[in-house]
Amino acid sequence: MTTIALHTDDIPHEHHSHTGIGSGISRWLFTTNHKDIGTLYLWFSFLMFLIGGSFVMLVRAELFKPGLQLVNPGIFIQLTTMHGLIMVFGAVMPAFVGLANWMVPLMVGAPDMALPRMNNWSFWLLPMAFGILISTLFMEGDAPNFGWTFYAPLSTTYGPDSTDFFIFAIHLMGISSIMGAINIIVTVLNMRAPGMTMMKMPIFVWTWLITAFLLVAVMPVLAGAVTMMLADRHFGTSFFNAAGGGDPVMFQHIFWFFGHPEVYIMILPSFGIISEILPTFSRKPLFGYPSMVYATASIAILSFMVWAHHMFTTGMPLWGEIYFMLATMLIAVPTGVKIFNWVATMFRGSLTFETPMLFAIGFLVMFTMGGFSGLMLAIVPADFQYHDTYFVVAHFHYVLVPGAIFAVMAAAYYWLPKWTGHMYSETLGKFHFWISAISVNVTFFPMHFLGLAGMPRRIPDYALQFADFNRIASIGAFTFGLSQIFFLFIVIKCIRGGKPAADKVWEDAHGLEWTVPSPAPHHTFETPPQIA
Amino acid sequence: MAKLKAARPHKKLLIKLTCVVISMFAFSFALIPLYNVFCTVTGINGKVDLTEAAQGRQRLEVYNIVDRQVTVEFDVTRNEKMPLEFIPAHSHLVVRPGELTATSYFVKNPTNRTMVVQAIPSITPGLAAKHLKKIECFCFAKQIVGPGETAELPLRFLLTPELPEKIQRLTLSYTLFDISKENAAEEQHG
Repeated sequence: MTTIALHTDDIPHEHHSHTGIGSGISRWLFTTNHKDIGTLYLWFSFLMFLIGGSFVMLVRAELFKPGLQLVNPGIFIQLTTMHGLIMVFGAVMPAFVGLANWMVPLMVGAPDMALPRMNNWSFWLLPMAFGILISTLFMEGDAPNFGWTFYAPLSTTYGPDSTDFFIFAIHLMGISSIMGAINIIVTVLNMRAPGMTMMKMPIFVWTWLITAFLLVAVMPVLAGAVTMMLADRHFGTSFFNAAGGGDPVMFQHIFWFFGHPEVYIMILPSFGIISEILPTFSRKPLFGYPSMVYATASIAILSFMVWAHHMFTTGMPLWGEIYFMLATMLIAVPTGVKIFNWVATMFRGSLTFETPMLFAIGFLVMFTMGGFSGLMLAIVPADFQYHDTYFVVAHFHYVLVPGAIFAVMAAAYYWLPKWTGHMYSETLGKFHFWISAISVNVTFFPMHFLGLAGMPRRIPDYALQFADFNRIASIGAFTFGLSQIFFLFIVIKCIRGGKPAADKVWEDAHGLEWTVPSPAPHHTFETPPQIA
Repeated sequence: MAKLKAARPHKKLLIKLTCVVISMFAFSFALIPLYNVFCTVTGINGKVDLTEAAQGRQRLEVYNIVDRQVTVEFDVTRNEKMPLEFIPAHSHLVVRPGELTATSYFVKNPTNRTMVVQAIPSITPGLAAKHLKKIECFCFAKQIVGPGETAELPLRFLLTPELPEKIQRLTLSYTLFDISKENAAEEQHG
């Protein structure tokens, strides 16, 4: 028999016409189609990207020159907090879930996700969660103002009243992520086309499968952490309160037990995307596919063993610091395997530089830079100098913006013709890449110097010697922000028209997604393809 | 047929994954006792185990006095700038491991209300915590200080001879928490 699962019994037929496409708003509200839900996720994530981005535009405007100009320190820290929360949970994570929804069933030859109704629910929880989170800005009193890491006691004893809305929002988005992850695991394990063994799966599917396991393992821990916060705030417990026998440092341990795997949740799918794009435009198969799979799995396992490198300055004993330093550096080994495999994939290839390839190469170069500054931060004695400075800000923005975000952009350009049936404008796409790549470096590279010189994070005002680099960073940030509006324009232009895309959009693209027509019809692979 | 066959593995996997989610949620709460046990065993947190003292079970052991000098510094942090005045009689003392040392803290309540405080000790470097034995400490119980009242609170401790050689200086730090409100609420319920 086949390993393909037909889910027709799961689909509420009454909502669908013969084509399976509803009309108007109900099409989107009640949809159980993986492509529709993928589209919803991607648009939602782009909206959150713009909202989170607009918050940081205010932050950069305030930091344009020393002194307090636009916002008071209270608003400033609320803006940085919201920026972090929205970008991590609202922009990057849903973007990857959106890509998984669109591409995983197409790539494994399945007709839809395994659990389509749950899929609908996991998406629609997100607007609710972020509606609640953003509404705190309009409430009386402060919005969450404790940084995206919401350390106790800032978020417990000293948290504003709106913290409870924040806790509920985190619970909702956690449930959404967990359901999304479960759906992807079930789809990948149960619904692959006949003949597609695990080691024949596209690498993007592999990286997402591993990411989904990470999500299932750590999102409940995040839920536990915010539940403990809630109990400390209202039910008289003392999980993180030293007066009652608890320990505020415990919060950091629990948070980073979630937080470090979370960092890899935001980068492993990017690794998958890059591993799809580089071979296509190098016209060579991916170098070292099995080692890519094992490296991804190693990174995932190691991610559970390094959490305290975020906490070197909490007064850990020396052997603890040495262990976490070495374990952290160990992660550079599987990551290095990946970087070398990507370079080897391009080596002696027939390279062309279409927009997705440009973003992929940009990712490769700049993610590696972020990786190296991560290695610098892993060195304990140096970390005491870098801790909580702009060096840390530079590091994690290098791995998240030209890392994760560039990978999402690369994926968007790579699959946009498949989604819309039109080619995007290559000229505009290239312009978008170059303006983004230049401005992202203008924004974040000076932050390394600011951090090394000792400028702390999360401050609205700073000493005069930091003025020049901050001005450069702000100009870069405004340019980067504007160039993403330009991306929106390119996408809308592509949806509305353009050169028709062939089924196999790229000359040397491989994979099942290129065997279906462009634009991908609403239902695909109703009869499973046979993989040789 | 295909439908039936397909639905079952979905359900099985779904149940398994839900179990993983639930157990990871439970695990996040289990992390607290796990961390505490880990810290007690390794003694890395600088926390002093007060459970024996609170139950009056601490035993006076006699140790051999080792002829080396260790500086013990005394330090106080008043949480949330609470108004109680609380100062150690000595900023530091030079002691020999195994030797019983007595010192004290002076406390003054400058306010016109009764304050109930709890002192939480912490030791730096953390690894020294399990080598510092307290025979008598005001931190064993909550302290009630009446309005305008002053008091001298005794502290008797010794360092065990097993204190690692390389620790030549350690800080005994107290953080004072104002628990007047919690105490009043407790008494009402009690």
